[in-house]
Amino acid sequence: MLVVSAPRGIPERLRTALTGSPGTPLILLGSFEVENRWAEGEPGLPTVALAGSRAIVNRMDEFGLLLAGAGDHVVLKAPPDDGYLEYLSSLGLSLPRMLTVADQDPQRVITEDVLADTDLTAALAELAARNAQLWPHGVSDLEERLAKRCGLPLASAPAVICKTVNSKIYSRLAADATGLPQPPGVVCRDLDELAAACDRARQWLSAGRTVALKDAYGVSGKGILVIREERRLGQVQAMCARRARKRGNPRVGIVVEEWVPKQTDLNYQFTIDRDGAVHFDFVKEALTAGGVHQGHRMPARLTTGQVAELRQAAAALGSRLAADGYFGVVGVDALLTTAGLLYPVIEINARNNMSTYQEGLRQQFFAAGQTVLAKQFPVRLRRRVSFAELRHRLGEVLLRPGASYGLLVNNFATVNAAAPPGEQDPGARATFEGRLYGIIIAGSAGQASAIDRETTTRLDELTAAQEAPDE
Amino acid sequence: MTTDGMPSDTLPTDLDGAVIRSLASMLGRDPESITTGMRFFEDLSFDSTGVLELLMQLETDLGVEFDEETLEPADFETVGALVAYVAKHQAAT
Repeated sequence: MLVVSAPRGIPERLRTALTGSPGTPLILLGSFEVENRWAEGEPGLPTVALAGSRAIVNRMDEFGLLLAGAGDHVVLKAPPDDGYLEYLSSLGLSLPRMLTVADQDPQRVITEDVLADTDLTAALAELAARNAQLWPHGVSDLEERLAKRCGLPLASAPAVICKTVNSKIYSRLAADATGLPQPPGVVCRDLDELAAACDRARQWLSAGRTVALKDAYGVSGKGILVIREERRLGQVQAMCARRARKRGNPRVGIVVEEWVPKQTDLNYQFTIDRDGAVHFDFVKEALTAGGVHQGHRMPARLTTGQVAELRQAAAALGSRLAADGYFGVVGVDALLTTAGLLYPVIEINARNNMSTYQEGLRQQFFAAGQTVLAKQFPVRLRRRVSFAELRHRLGEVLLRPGASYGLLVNNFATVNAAAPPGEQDPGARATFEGRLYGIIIAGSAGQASAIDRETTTRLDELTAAQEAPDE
Repeated sequence: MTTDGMPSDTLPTDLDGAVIRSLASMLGRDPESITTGMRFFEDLSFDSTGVLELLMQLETDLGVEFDEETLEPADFETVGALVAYVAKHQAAT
């Protein structure tokens, strides 16, 4: 039985922290690729960015539907599937007003789509007159440009501060300044610092340890090169030196750290209001595969002492960020080593986090004692699938109205995001990758695992059904 | 878009084979399982760090130095695209 204990949506405290008032309507803008924007031109690890999953990430804008309240607005690259909206409504969710781009480009971030849509920017300007503020997932120069064009105040710190705080170099220096424990390591802002760091890293390698080189502006858990042999360290150092010579600039943006054996990834969130007050929101276990985020587990399996340590870290970091001009949501990646050591700050995210978008559902769907697993499921398709078809395939796995367990789909747009444009040939043999995001609500860890496995099985059946020649 | 897994319709050149061998060594796979038509992201699960690792492996195996600033995302769309880039790069140097 669902227990509705409080209205869902953006907590009043968060709204006040962002806008200065508990009643300000917010316009959510899913600028999920903001870290790519921040990374542009930065001298991180020498590599090339793959286009890869951009179309999928750009459709993460749909997460805003389940965070925004009925009085808020969500800007979307495309209208949601009608069946998906009907499903959300059937669960008792009051949906926000949706503003959609007229002609979205899958490879373009939503902010660029909106900037190119004069009707939509006009509509946003009207909302500015009604006291609304723009709340992007993360703020770069693009979001500032959009806010300015529409006359919308930003419910965020300026882009230059967000970008600075999001750097892994900032994270390390902030941890140093606040006395928070972190893996041995150094920041490298130029070739000289990189050379010194590599000398130190060679000592770690000689002692049989593993080294990680982290791009200061690496995107969402990526941009981490794990090195186990000295030769590779020399190669990266040489590549950085060649690049610096070519650019005529010795600047570098890399963190060199000892790679610690990890037991658990953690993610915690705190909020800094405009007056600098810091509020600890939650901590979750982060599920990662190959260093890339896969989801969250709630509750996090931590001792009360460990949670207290994270709260203290949040207070210390929050004070420092506030002093540097940041306010709003802060997500921090932390980890527990196999030796039981807690490193409370590995990376600071000066933007919303995946877990931010789950909080709108917590009070309505996550009862005490339940296990909640927020996950992403890869799905390989030959043609687009409607939510109605997906719903049919998932069957009883899907959370139904009134039920206390099941899979709650919190983003469907990412399933078809990478589909080729235009009408699809039913006989086409080409495939595209999609991603289904869902939150598993269960009475126990065992039941959560069972729903997880069954969801994967049903999605594999969907793939197989599309591969059958007669379908 | 992927093919249905069939190899490209030309036999590997020496450079095709060399790049595939480096890639296979890095991924811990049988070189026979990799074709020039395969896509780095969709078929081989590559990300930008994987690109850097492969560039270093190729530098070691082929005895070249890469200027990653001359690389475009399109050069890493498929294994064949990367072979073409390496061939062009080798010809230029």
